[in-house]
Amino acid sequence: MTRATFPRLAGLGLLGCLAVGVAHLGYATLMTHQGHRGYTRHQVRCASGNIIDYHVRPGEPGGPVLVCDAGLMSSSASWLLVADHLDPAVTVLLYDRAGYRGSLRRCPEDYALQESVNDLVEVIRHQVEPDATCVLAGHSLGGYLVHRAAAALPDRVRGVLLVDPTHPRELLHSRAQREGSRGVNLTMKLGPSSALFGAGLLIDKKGLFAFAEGSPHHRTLRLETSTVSTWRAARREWDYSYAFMLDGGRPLDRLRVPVSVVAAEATLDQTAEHRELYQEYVDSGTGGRIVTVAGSSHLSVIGGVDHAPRTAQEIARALAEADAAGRPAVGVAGSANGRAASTRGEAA
Amino acid sequence: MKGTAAGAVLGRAVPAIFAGWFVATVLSQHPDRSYDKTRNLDRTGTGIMIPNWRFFAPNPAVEDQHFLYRLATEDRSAHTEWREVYSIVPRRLMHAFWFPGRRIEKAVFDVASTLVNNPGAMTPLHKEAKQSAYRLIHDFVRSRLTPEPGYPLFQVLLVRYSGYDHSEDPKYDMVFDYEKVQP
Repeated sequence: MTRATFPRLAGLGLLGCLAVGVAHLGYATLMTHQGHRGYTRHQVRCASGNIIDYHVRPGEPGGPVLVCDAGLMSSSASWLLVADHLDPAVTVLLYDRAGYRGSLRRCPEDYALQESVNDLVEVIRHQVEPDATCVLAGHSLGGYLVHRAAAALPDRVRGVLLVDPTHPRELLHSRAQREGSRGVNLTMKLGPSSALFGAGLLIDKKGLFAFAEGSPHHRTLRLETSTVSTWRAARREWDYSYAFMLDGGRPLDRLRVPVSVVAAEATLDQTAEHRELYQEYVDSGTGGRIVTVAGSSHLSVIGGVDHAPRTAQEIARALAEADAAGRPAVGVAGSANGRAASTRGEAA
Repeated sequence: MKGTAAGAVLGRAVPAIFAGWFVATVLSQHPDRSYDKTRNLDRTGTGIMIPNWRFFAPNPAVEDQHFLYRLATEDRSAHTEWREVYSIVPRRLMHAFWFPGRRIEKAVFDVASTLVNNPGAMTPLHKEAKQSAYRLIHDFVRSRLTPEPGYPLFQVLLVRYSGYDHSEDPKYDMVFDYEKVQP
C-alpha cells in the first residue's frame, strides 16, 4: 500500500480542489446558458457581429413593453425579481449584452459602449412593434446604456426609468466614487483567469449576495459570478467605461420622453453628489422624478426581496404614464404574433 | 503493541493535518480579498492560522507613477489634451552612483501611494494624509504646467505605466478635482 506522505496528500488535495473548482465552473456555465422560466428565448445577429440573446415574457397583445438592461457583471437574471412583481399584461424583454449568458461577442473591433447601445437598439427594432408603448429600464451601467439607446430611438421609446444608474461624470464628480472604483480594477483584472481555474468557489458569495437572500433567483445570480464569460464581459466593459468616465464621459443626450430615476438610499447616503447627477438625468427628459427606495443598496434595489417590489411599482407608474401620454399601442412582436422565423422560440 | 498502533495513527494523521493546512494556505493566497472564503475558516479572528503572502509586500511596485494634467475653461466644458508633468529619466550606469533627479520620482511615487493604497481607510489620520497629498500634488503640477489664456482651471490624472514596455497601455488610476491655475 502506498504511504500517505505529506507531499502526496498535499498534491492530491490541491488536485482535488482544482477538480472540484473546474466541475463547479462547468456546472455554472451550463446553468447560465439556460433560459429563464416563463420566458421565451430569442436570438438576433446584430450588425456589430454579436449574437444577442434576449428573453421575452409575453404580456397582453397591445399592452406596454418594458425592455430591461442590467448593470456591469450582471445579466438578464438580475431583473427577474422586479419582473415577477410587474403586471402580467406587461410584455417584459430582458436583454443580455454581448458576452453575458448566451449572448456571444463576435464584434472584431475593440469594445466601446456604443457597441452595446447599437446592439440594444437592434434588439428593440427587431422585437418591439413601432407603435407599442415601449419603456426602457436600466440598472447601473445598463441605465446609462438605455438612456443612450432612447436617444437613438426617439420614435419608439415612450419613457425611460433608470435604477441607480451610472453617470458618465460620476468619477469626476465624486472623489469617494473615484477612490472606490480603483479597488475594482484588481478584481476585474484577475477575475477571468481566476474563474477559469474554478476560483469562483473561493468567492465569499454568502456576503456578496446577502442582498438577494430569500429571492427565488438567488442561486442563479450566485452561479453567474463563477463563469469565465461573465468575468470577461465585465472586464471588457469595465476597462472601457473606467477610462471613459475618468475622462469625463460625454454630455447626456436630450430626450423627448420623461426620464425618472429610482435611487438606492445607500448610494445617496455614501455619495451625496449623486443626487445632482440623478437630477441631471431627470432634466435630460421632459419630466420624471427621483424616487429613493428606503433602506436599499445599489444591488438590493433590484435584487432584494424587500426593495424590488418598490422598484417594480415605479416601473408600473412609468409604464402607465407612458401609456397615457402615447398613441394607442397595437401589438408586440413575440407575444401574440411573434416573429417565429427569427427566434429559437424555445420555452425556457 | 499499543505504542505501535498509536504511532501508526500519528503517522497518518500528522501528514494529513499538515497537508490540509498547506492546501488551505495555498487556496488563501489569491491577491484579491474577494476570494478569501478559505481564509475565513480561521476562526481565531486574527488571521494567523493561515499564512498570508501579503504580510510584507501586499502590492509590489512594478510600474512608474506619472501625473498628467489638462487645462479647462471656467465652465469646464472645454479641455486641452492630457499633458505630461514630467518625464521619467531613462536609467544609465552612472545613476547607480549619482542620481539626484531620482528624488522627484521617489517623492511622486510615495505621495501617489498615499492616495491609491488603502482607499477605504477613513480614519482622521488617513484623511489628513490624503488631503496633504492632494495639496502637494496640485502645488507640484501648478508649478510645472504651461498656462494658456481662457483656461483658468487644471485637472490632474494619475497614471501607471511601466516606462519601458511601450506595447502596454497606461492604466488610469485616479482623476483629481479641478483646481485654479492661479490660486
